[in-house]
Amino acid sequence: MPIYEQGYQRWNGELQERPLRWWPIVRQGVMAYLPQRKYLLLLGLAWIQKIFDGVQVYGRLKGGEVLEGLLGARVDAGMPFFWASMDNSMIWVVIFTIMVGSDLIAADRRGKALQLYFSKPITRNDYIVGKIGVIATFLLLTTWLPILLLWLFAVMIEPTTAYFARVWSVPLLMTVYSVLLVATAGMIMLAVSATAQRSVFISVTWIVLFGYGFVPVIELVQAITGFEAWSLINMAGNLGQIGAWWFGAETGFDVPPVLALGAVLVGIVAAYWWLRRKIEPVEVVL
Amino acid sequence: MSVPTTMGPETPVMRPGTAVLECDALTRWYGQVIGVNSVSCTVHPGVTGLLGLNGAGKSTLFKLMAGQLKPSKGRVLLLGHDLAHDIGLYRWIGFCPEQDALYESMTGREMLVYLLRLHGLSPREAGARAEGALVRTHLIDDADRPVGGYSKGMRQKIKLAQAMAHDPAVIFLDEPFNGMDPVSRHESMALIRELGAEGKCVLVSSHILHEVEQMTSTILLIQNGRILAEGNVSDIRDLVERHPHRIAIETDDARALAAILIGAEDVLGVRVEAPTRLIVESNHPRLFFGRLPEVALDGGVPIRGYVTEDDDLKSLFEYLVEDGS
Repeated sequence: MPIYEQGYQRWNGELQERPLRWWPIVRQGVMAYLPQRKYLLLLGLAWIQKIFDGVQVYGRLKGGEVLEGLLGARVDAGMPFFWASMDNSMIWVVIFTIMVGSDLIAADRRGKALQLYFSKPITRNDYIVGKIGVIATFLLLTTWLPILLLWLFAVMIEPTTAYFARVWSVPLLMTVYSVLLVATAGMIMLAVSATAQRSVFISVTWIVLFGYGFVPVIELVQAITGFEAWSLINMAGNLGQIGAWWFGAETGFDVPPVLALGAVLVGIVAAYWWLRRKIEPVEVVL
Repeated sequence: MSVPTTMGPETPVMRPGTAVLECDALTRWYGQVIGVNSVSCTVHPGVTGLLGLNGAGKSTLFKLMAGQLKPSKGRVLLLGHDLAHDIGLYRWIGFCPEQDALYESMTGREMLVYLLRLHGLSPREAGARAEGALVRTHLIDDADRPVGGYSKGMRQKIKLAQAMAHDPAVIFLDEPFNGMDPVSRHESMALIRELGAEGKCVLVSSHILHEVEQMTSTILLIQNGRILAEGNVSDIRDLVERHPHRIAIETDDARALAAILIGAEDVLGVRVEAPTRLIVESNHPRLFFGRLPEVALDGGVPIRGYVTEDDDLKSLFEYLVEDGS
């Protein structure tokens, strides 16, 4: 009878704790895109936009009377201003979600890499969190982070209690809103990326599902039926509605923001459910 | 089989009296088609060959054993624990898929480090283990080249490297020699034998018997999704030898040779197919081959060549099916 050496018992390495298993997926995904010149250029453009917002903040807080005289209207750097800055960033949300997200799972499926992922001690949720983390990194770098710095700049140049009392909740609301934004845009993108394989098709489908493609259709249907609730299927519109509600700005549709929030949460759950169904180490075609 | 004791934070200790890997009535349906049918087997340390013809269910069984596919019925026990209920058990599995599953833009080293990081290893530990695996698979000189530029054999080797780099207890290698050149094949076979000697359970699937024989004598034969036979290659061969083998002999005078051979005990029958070609049926082929040159010399009938017509896996399966029935 052979006597085996039992070599595998020699391993004494420390394993990373369970909650961080998704981190290498995020890191790998981000590092695959970030060093590329086109991504750096786009990130730079996104930040230039925020630098202009910074100039605006300065002008509004320090030269408000002059500006009001010039413009003939009241200028302010309150909550709605920060919301407007976030709303203006939506173009970067679209660009980065498409550029980074469309191939995230589709490439793994094309390359049959899911077999390798799921032969490791990682769960489907680890995989999903890792992949959405890649999208989140780029979206937060172009929305949440610069707006937070913008807020910091504003409270530094206007260090009064009155101003702080008006805008203290910006970081908190912006963080919650960004989480909602990333979850909606990212989860829908991953669901599509796990379903189709061609990047162009994935991108177009995401645009339609996320809402931009629906806007003219929704407006047409609303005009015909006179029923505003059709806008609930427009995820981008719903997010806008929620943001405007939280930051005290004017809302775009007549749909109650609570309903919009419900629709967004349903969209996230539906995309997650679909994604869980589609992610299998071995694709079985019957 | 002793118990692994230096486990990670999430891996249970092996239950006493259990095998490293055990399949219990494993069944997998694909719609109306059955891929694997109530397979129960136990895999012990060392190299085990999983042999079957194309479409026999080898890959499905492999994927079920490795937790890549969910069984329709039955369960897989790894270290005595149900694989379906403990994700931490995957730390002890190494899986080398049959198909290419590679990141073309990454270098071999980057890919290994990344996959090791998914096991929860620190970057430094992952780097050291990747280095070790690259050395053992003879890929160290090409470690920093993109995988996209690798030859078919190198791609197989990098898959093998990622399956063994984290020091698993069970390694599944699905057709690992496909596309390998003879040198790579020889190196990889030697490595697989080493892994088996180190006490790992190495399961190698193949449809080529002699390939598996070079690494191990322990085999599982699968056909139509069921285990047809398991055990030692020589046992299987003995079983096969109870069935007549057909041997085709090229000679100058087939009739003369037939007259000489027909009286031998190990010859069941002869048939002259052509004036220079004779088909012999023997129930002891090894004995027959041993004395064939002597017979030819004594009888003065030159033999130009011979070939065992049915010494392949397909025939082996046919014999075993006949024997089973």
